Amino acid sequence: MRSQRSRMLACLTVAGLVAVGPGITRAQDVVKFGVSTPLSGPAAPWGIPHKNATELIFDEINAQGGLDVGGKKYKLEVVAYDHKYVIAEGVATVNRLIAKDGVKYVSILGGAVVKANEEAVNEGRVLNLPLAYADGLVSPKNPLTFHSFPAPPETTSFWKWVKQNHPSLKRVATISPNDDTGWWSIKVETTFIQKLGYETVAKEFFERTMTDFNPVLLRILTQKPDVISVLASPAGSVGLIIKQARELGFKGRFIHIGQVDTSVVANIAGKANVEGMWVHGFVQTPLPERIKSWQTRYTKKYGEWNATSIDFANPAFAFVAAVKKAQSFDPKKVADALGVVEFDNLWGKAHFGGKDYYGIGNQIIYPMPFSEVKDGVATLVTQLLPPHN
Amino acid sequence: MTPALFVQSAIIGVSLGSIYILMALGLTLMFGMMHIINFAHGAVYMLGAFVIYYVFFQGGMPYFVAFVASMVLLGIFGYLVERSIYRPIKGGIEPTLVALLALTTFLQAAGYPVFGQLDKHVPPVFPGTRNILGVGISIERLMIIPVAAALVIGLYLFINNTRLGAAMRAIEQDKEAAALQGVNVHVVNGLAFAIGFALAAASGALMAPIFKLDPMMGEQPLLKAFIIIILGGLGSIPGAILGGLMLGLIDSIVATALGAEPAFLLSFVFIIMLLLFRPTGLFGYAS
Amino acid sequence: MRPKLGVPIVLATVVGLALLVPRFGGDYYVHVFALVFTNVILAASLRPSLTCGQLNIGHSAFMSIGAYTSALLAKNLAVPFEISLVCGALLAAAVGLAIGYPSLRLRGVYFAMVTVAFVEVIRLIAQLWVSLTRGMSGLSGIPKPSILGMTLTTRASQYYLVLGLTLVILLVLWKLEHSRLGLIWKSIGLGDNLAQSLGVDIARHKLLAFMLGCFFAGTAGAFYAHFIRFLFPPEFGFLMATNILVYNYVGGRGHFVGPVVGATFLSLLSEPFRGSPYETIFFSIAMLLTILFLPGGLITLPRKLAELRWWRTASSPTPSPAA
Repeated sequence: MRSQRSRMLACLTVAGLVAVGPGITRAQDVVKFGVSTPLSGPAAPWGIPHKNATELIFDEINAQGGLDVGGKKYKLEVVAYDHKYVIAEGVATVNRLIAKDGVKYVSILGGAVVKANEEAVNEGRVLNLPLAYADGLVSPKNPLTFHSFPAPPETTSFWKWVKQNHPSLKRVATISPNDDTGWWSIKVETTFIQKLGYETVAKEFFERTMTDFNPVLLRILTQKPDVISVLASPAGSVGLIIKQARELGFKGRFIHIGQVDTSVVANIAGKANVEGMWVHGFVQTPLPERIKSWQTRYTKKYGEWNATSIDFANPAFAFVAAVKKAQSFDPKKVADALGVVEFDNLWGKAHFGGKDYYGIGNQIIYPMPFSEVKDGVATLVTQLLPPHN
Repeated sequence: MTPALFVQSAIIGVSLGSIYILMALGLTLMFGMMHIINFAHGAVYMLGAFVIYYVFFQGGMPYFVAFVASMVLLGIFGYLVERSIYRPIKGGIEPTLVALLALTTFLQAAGYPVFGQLDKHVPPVFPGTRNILGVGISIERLMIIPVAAALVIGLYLFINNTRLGAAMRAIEQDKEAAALQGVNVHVVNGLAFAIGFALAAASGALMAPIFKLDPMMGEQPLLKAFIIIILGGLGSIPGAILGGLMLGLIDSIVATALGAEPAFLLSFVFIIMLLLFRPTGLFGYAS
Repeated sequence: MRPKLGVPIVLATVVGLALLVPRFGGDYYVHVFALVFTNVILAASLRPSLTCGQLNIGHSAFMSIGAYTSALLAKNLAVPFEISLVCGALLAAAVGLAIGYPSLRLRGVYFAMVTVAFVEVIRLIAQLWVSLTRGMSGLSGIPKPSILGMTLTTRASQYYLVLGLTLVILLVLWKLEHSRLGLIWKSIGLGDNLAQSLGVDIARHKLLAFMLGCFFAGTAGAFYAHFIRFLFPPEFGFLMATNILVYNYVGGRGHFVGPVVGATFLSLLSEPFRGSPYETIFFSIAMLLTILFLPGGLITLPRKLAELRWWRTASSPTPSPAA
């Protein structure tokens, strides 16, 4: 009892004392890249592959001696902090990256966190390669922000394919999270599909913590939709929505033009219920060689495979390509290079564009994969470019 | 709202209410005896569901066995929490509350590395739907109602017909007098913790095949249970039953008619009004 | 107890160290400590209400009111920071009055439940009233704090602002606790009957303690709004509310510095673990251990250590084999 108590007291004291430490000295030839992402809590399934994918790409470059800039080899290092999807933590971690770690390039994950850091990023003149759905993020007022994930304005392309290949579908209902991400996604999607001639018969928003979707679905189903769009909803919620909608008698299709892992969805909803679902960014077959190899390397390094890592590797690919092109580590020069460089990501040729739509060409553009769940397997049906280049 | 829709949402409301009741019963029982609010109730609900995941889904045992295992294991956990946290604090209401909050935070945070980052699921135990009065209702949701009813009746019989139940009632009425009568207060408090935790585990175990599993899954049911015990009166078992049914119906019918958020806001405004004008709840008695 | 001379020395050292943070800590620690002081204000402002025996688990709601009021006034109507801050604090106090007055009849746990429910109500209002608060989009574009028309652009200047606010608020609270009013609060907390027999208007004093806390929570919220410059409704939820309460208990309820120590310790505790997914786990373990082994809170730690040392020397004639 006595030793247990004193040991505990010692722990508490030490924890209190180590709170403030000196800054870390930096080796000359190491370049730091900051990642502020959720590594714990409910959003960790996105944050962990974000950090891992970045680290994997950097490690592979380091293993070959580093990144060659101006005839000198530089090692790349990821400095990652957990923001838990909490705003105050998000602001603190980015502040720590910029002010304490002296990082010049960051990749922030999560709409609200990116928005909260908008000004810090602009004022600190750091390059940001975020992964987020957020209205107004790609904008002339954020010249150093290069959005590295296809957002709803890009993925709406797929609705044209649906229109051509399944002309009998007419009535669309949407259900998405009640936050900025959900609102913006649905606004973009409904505007686009209404132009294509679809009728949006119901629009529902839910709290991210919701598990019983019956009341919301009962409201939707009275409108007799042909398709239910679950854009911007996380996999767990999508699974519950599909399961409960089927129980309530819905026979139509589901579509998610954001990225979602249909195997997680099918586990919750039941395999048969997910059949025919359309998704962006999740493919199980046929996989291109590049992705098969990525899957092997990722699984070898981290043990557990996470398909989200395929698209979340974009910030690292873009950064490396732009530094090579600019032959400089100056954020402004790297940003200029990002505007013109063409590079390979795991799905094909990628570049930053979208000036017609956003007023600035800072949105990643590449042939995005869309799949349909056939016999429980997400099968690639087409690869499409966004409506704007 | 069409009549069919009303019937459908009412049946869903009753099944939802049954789960709420199980959650609230444990809370109200522990409050009645020890005047503590068990903030860890949601975390126990979560653990109850994960026992089903490991024993039934991963372990391949029959669902019934997993269900009993969940209640027994978490009942034991409840007893241990009484021994190691509640008893050393010596009944201080506020420190107990802080300790239970800490325990909850710990269980939730530790849940991610232990159970994995991705949402877990348990395959349905009673798949399919059934047609009632012309509307489809899933069988697994209907099954909640008899199971919850059986547990409620079991608890009622235990409290009213056994020696330990009598001891619990004695402590609830007057702790000092009960102690003087030779009731071992510690043992009975431990029992109350065990029963309360087992009931929370039962709700989690029932919900596991219906919803998804993640370490934070207990937060919403806990908030609902809070509302119910305020509604029904803290410490009142009939109050928890009626409050649970009422909230289940409000949640289902109002949300179907107006949307989920107005329903949630409405229930909270309702609670604040009720507390302000009838602070002891619908069935509570002044302490 | 310690001799009286020690107190001013300790106080001067702490304030001196606090003043030096921007010089040696760099922008990051300035940021961290600014938030520590915000938490100190929140924790300390809950104390009067706790002293009166009101278990308030809803303090974050009043912080939220102060934050949104000040942010919206400054952003939409270009109200100067000093005025918007006071408006935020006053509105928080006014809402405190509206909630506190009818809740006076409620005792202990019932009061606690009202405050828990209130946190959710305020969060939902902030979330649903999109035209005003921008709901779950989050409110951005909040101006930086300013004083007499001078905008505090640097983190360091904002840090000195919150340090000043904290010192003033702590001084006010300390003075109050050691005045006649503080004695009355204490007697109310010890048992309503005692205070009543002394002819004290319990209801009025309880309400005053509650509103005072709301006022300062609103102040902290207003600073937070202009410091973080982005408001998001879930930030002021149940977690923040319980944290404020926890600071008081982990620090210790027995002395005025309890909440200050608790808020500082727990806010800094996560720093060494930043970047580790186990941060919250360590946090909760530290919380649990403190409650179980230091029931009087961290402020009783020195005395406990002294006792322990005494106990060890007293019982050491037979050397233990492990030594």
